[in-house]
Amino acid sequence: MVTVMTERPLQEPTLLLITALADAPRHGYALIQEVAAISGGRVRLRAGTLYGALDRLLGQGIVRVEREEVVDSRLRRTYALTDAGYEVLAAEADRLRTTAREAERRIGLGRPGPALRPARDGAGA
Amino acid sequence: MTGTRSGSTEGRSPRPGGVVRLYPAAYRRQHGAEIAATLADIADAEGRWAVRRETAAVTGHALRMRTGLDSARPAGRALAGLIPYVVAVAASLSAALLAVWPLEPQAWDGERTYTPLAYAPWLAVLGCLIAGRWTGARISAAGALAGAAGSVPLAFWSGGQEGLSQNLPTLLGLAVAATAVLAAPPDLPPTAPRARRNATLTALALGVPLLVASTTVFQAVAGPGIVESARPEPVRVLLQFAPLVLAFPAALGLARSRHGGAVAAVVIVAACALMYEYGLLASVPYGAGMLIGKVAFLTGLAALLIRLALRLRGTREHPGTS
Repeated sequence: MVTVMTERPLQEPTLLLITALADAPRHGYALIQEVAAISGGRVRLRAGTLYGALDRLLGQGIVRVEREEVVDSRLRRTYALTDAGYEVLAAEADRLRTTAREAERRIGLGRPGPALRPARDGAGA
Repeated sequence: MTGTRSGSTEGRSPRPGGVVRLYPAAYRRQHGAEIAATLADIADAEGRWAVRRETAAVTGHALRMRTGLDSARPAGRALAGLIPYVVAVAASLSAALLAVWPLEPQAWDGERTYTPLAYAPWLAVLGCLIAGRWTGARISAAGALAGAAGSVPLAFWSGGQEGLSQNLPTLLGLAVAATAVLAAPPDLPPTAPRARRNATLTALALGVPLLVASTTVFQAVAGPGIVESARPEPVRVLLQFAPLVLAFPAALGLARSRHGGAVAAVVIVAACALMYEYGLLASVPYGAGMLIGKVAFLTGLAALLIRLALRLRGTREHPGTS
């Protein structure tokens, strides 16, 4: 059961985390690396923050455990998005897209572009 | 992208996974090996300094798990939601105390001692929070905690036992506020525009009157025919203003939270008990108890009414759901 409040925007660590899980299931360290890559190195999830967020997202039904395996004598638990998780991410992406589109529209209205500048030597426009 | 290893052994920490012993036993059985493996991956790829930072973060998570303040539990989420208000209140009080500290004491003020080391970091905490720099806010909160702890012996050294007893409640309050900022779940940082706006508005609504009132000199009747100048003490002014400023966000927060109805009912009963106790006392100089009781009563009542209104609206918009 999904108990997350989708009416409010997701917080950045949560958004980055579920974005990192959207294309493929990943384990803990891969998630840390992927979040850093998605954010262009701006956000570096600490292990404590990562597992705190994963616990919450597991409880909310947004993330599930895909599989467990032992690699080089280290336990790897791989996480994946649930259907509800994909819905939450799609809703957030839609919200961000709407805001970005509106921002671009208003930038176009407010800032005089090349088409609005007076033509020189009778050229342009 | 998957976890790649450099193969370097230079950064290997002696026991990068030893910190998982701090977790509660049940959680450790379920996740301990996995967290230790992640720490080992970080040690292999990024070196021992990275492991030290990660170990501190895992220690924080383990302590949050032990105290029930992780983001998976309601208490942790509630704490994360309260942080903008905690910071706004602590910073407003600290700003007022800093403003009063260099002023000459008035005749009726007596010997008051101040501990600016404990106040100054709070301005940085608020500034960082408003700027969306949550890591900076946490580092500043650590400075505030250290400042409060360091101010205890300084207060005793500069003001003796009286100086210590004057400052201790304020220093403890600021230390608790700093601990709350550090204990809040880091995966729910108050960096969203709404949280930053709430912190800004609360700090303005509380800080401006607190600064003005704390630096204003008034004439007080000290005895028959004796009038002396005095200045209100910032902590007492805070106790009068804070309930008024925080009542509305508290009512809204209670109305929207899952167990808000039950909490509001408890608040109303506690407020009635407080008002009854203060009603029995004939005169309490500077006593804020009655005010706090009245505001808490009205806040609880408002929370119940808002909750009822939200439920009625929900029923109207979605007739099939309860």
